[in-house]
Amino acid sequence: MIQSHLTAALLFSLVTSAVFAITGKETDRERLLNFVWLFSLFVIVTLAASWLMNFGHR
Amino acid sequence: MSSARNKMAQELATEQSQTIKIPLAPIIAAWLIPGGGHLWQRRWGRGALLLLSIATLFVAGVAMQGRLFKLAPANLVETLGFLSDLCSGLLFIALKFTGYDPGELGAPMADYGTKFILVAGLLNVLCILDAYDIAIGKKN
Repeated sequence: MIQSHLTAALLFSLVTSAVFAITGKETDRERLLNFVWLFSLFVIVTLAASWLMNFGHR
Repeated sequence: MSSARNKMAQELATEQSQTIKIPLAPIIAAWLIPGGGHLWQRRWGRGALLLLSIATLFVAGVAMQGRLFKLAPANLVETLGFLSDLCSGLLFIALKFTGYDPGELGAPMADYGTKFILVAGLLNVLCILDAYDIAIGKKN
């Protein structure tokens, strides 16, 4: 069972990016690139927002 | 003049009847099984990936003891949550039949779990729309 927030956020990012890429693009190449782009954005924004909230609570 | 107008009206009516035709089978398949609409239309790879993705999210949500929303017409948020859960199709229906009820949000990850189950349903809406687009020839 998933016990860490980071693992849960990564799983969420992975699945959501995959579905967005598959349903949103036409060719396999476009889908792959879109998946990588979306997943990277999800992870970067999640980590950035987490650190911001962490600093905000200090 | 009037015969030409009649012909145009007939053509328009024919065109409209063609565009209104809704491909029900792939839509129902897509609702019942995530990716089912794609599998129905022989898009095996995409269908399998969508099924794997959405089922993983749903199962992870259940494993984290996320709760299912209930149909409560007086509570709009609860009802919208229920509709989103319902969009997961057989995954949601099967879980309901098992009598799954984690109770109040006790486990630390339960809130994540609730959102995972909710989002699995919403992602399946995207799959249903994509299957519809494929069925009407708007997408490949």
